[in-house]
Amino acid sequence: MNAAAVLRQTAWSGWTDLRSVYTPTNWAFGWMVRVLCQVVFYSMLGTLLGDPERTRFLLVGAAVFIAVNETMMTSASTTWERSSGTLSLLAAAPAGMVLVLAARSWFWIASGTVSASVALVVLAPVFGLDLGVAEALTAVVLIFATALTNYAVGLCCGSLSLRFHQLRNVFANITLLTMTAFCGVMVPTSYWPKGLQWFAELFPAAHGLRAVRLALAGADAGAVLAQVGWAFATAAGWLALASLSLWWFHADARRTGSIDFGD
Amino acid sequence: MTITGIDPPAVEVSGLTRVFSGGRGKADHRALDAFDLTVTPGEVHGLLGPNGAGKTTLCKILSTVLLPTSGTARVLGLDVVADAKRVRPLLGIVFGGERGLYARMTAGQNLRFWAALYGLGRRAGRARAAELLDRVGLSARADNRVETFSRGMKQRLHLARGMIGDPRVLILDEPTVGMDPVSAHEFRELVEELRAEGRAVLLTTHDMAEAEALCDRVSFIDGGRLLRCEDPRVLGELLSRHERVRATGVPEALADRIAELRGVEAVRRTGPGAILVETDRDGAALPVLRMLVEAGTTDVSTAPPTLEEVYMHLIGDRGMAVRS
Repeated sequence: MNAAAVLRQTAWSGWTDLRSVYTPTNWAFGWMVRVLCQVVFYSMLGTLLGDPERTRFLLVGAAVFIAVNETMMTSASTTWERSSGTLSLLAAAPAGMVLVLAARSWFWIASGTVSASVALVVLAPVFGLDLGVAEALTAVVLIFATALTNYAVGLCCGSLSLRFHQLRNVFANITLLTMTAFCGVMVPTSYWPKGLQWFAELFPAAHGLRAVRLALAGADAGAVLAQVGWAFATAAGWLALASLSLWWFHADARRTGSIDFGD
Repeated sequence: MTITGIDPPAVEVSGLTRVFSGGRGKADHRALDAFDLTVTPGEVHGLLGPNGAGKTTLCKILSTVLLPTSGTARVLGLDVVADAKRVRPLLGIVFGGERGLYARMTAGQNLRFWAALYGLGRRAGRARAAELLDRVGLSARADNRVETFSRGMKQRLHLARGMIGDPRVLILDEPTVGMDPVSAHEFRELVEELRAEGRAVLLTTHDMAEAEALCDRVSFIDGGRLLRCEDPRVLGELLSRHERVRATGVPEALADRIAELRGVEAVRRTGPGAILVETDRDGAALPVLRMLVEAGTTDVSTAPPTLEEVYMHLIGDRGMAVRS
């Protein structure tokens, strides 16, 4: 198998998917308007509380979480192979399905990074967050790292969605809500009991978000990079789980016949 | 591939059985039942049967998408279970219909994508895609999105996609379903070319004319079992002793008298005054013809059974009912 060729062609396939999801117009005047409204809504809670610190916390959490939100759409797009009727052909191809399914939804990383970055940069001055060029660029890089690492979580949910097709919307939603609640998006992780704090550490998003907060607070690079390191380490675990799950799906489908010709 | 110097069959299926679990409180479904089949290299083999007969289950097992419950299936001597990874590059799969292509990608992008999955690098993939698009007459549309293609064009692209890995065995699962006659004819010409190149083709179809025109042999399958496997012409001869006599302008009373003749199996009304007489023994058509001519009927003909009649005879009177 020529993995580089497979990845290159899969990336191209993903690009055509992205172009069908977003046009420049519906991205700018549909999706981004929705994103900005969402971030404004959560940030306003801090404003209404009259707490500038809380406002900035909510702004950063809500903005960065857009990247997490979009990369969780990987769960749905992983199952698009079934609706296009190509799943059985992938299963019968010499390269197999795992690499293609693992790479096909990359575009959510790109679009999530852009959406979250735009939201943060545009709304920062509105809610009193002083963001210089260097800080903004650092934030974009860290948002990219957050999106990239969270992609593994979305992929894991996607692999389960393929296996349990009737529950395909459940996995991503539950995971997303879990991360929203416990990973320090709206509520500091320290608010939760120790057990839940440890649980939250399993998600790359918790570390990515913490890295952004630390960078914007002027923490030293070591502390920021440590969080990035943890994000990648946990992502590796999720990626391994996703690969195992995709392999299991393929093996199980051969046994049960859950992939039909034309699926 | 050959140890003894003799080429293995392109497809060799022996005692192949696939049982699907019915789930809680439901009976299991036996989709294939001790099925045997051999397809030689360079042969176009038709697989005919009603919906739910087991055709697609067989194709899924051969293409390594499904495991059999028991029995063996080999492609060019390789077991589809134990040697699945080695079998996959040898096979090409072609679906009928709209599915199985990336509609938003161009024809060229589709083929280059699958070229990569069949182990071709960038340059080789581009060359192969261009060659196949030319072969199926889609070069001029290489950069058009597939969603803009007609049914016939999509089907030709399907075939090109199935050929991307230069397979020695092709599985065509109802490839001409829904195609207009001209497109279907062009498609059949492409299949003829594949045969001429020595590739084996396993073709599932409902289209009797297609099977008769294309196939070297046809296998009738129903209820997961092989009913008959023959040259399409031999199958017709099998029933030639069940000669058919067609006539028009036949009064009711005459039809009733014909039905009472020895060797007449059935007299079917095919229109106002038109009958189709089926016989079940050699020479039985002669007294039928004599009686018709003596009664002054001039529009009389005999004909061998078509493949469709053979099909109906073998499958029986189940009509459109699908087996559970």
